[in-house]
Amino acid sequence: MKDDPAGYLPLSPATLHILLALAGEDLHGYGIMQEVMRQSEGRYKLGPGTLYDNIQRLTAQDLVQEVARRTDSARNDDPRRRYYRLTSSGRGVLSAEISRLETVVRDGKLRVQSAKPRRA
Amino acid sequence: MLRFFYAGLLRLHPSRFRQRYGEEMLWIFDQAATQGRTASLFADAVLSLWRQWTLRPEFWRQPEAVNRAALDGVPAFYIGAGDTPRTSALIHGGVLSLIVFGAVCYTLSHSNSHVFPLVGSHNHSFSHFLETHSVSAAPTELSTKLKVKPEPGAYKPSPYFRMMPVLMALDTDQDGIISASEIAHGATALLTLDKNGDNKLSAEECGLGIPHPAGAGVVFMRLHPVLAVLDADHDGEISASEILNARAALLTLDKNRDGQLTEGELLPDPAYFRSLTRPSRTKGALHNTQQPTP
Repeated sequence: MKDDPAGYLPLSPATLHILLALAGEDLHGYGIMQEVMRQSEGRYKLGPGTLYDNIQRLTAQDLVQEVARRTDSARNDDPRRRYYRLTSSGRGVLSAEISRLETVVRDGKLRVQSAKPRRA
Repeated sequence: MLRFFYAGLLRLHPSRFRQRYGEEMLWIFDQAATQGRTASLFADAVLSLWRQWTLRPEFWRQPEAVNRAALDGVPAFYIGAGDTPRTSALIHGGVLSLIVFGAVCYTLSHSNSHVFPLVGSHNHSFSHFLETHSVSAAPTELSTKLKVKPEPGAYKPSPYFRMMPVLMALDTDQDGIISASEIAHGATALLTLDKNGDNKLSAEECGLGIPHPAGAGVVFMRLHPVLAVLDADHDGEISASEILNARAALLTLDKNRDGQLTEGELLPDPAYFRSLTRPSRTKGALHNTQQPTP
């Protein structure tokens, strides 16, 4: 595991969406897929193969961890579900990625605004 | 049916990935199936299959047993029956099998000795073969004779051999043949029958039953060819000098000149035997009866 969050940057779109989905609450795999679809307004569809490939890698990097089933939904929960939580390291990496994206957005806006339209 | 194929695709994934996330992926498939969106999941599963085997070797190459042992510091048994063997292990095993197979084939094809280093084979025992007598034969001669010695207890002497103590004494190896060596040591063998130690063999010591009529000893000694040739003076007993001359006497029975005596050369002449069974007209017929000279 890398100590510096900047070492993980830039994040792939799938990784970014998964970390963003887990930033709010603990979610199971299918919940992460639905949350990603909601965040992207249906434009980014995450398949289970891609999801669990990222979960496997993020778990190995200690950016995400598996947690016990939530007690409030235990009664109606499927036993096959597993919940995942963003770790402090994962949150730091997500913050660093958001900062990087903010810089990119700010720089992009400046470049777009400063550009003078050419005459045809 | 679709669920069956999707589960099959999941089973093709590396075992660690499958065991860890397989059930969850199948559960997601079940959820998506209720909404009729399963086609994209198949494409995703195929892509995941390729990704796990090609881009994620660090996960499925890591031995799980090592991790288990490292958890508590105590080595633990690991059952790998459910794991798919690594590709490199399969290649190594195949190469090693080919090398071993080639070595065995080469050894068998170039082996000129009697040693067969195969598992399950046994070394043949040649202890029941006698040495050949034609050791000076030319290499191109194919008429070499091999004499096979019967296994111990396999040979049973014929009734005639059993009836004749002289033959049983001469045939020291009890193979039914009086060989050249046994003929040469005939005198020593005959002396084993000398019960009273007078250095000569009477008709009784040669096998004549007791009681018997007078003169029967002479007839008995003439009836049997081996006794007839040994009792050269036909006095009804084998004297010391006749015992010493046993080799020359026995060789007179060797009709085919092969240096040994078989049972066919030792049996009495049937015609002479029949003449004994006819009623004799003269009183001394028994004493005058003579077997044809061998």
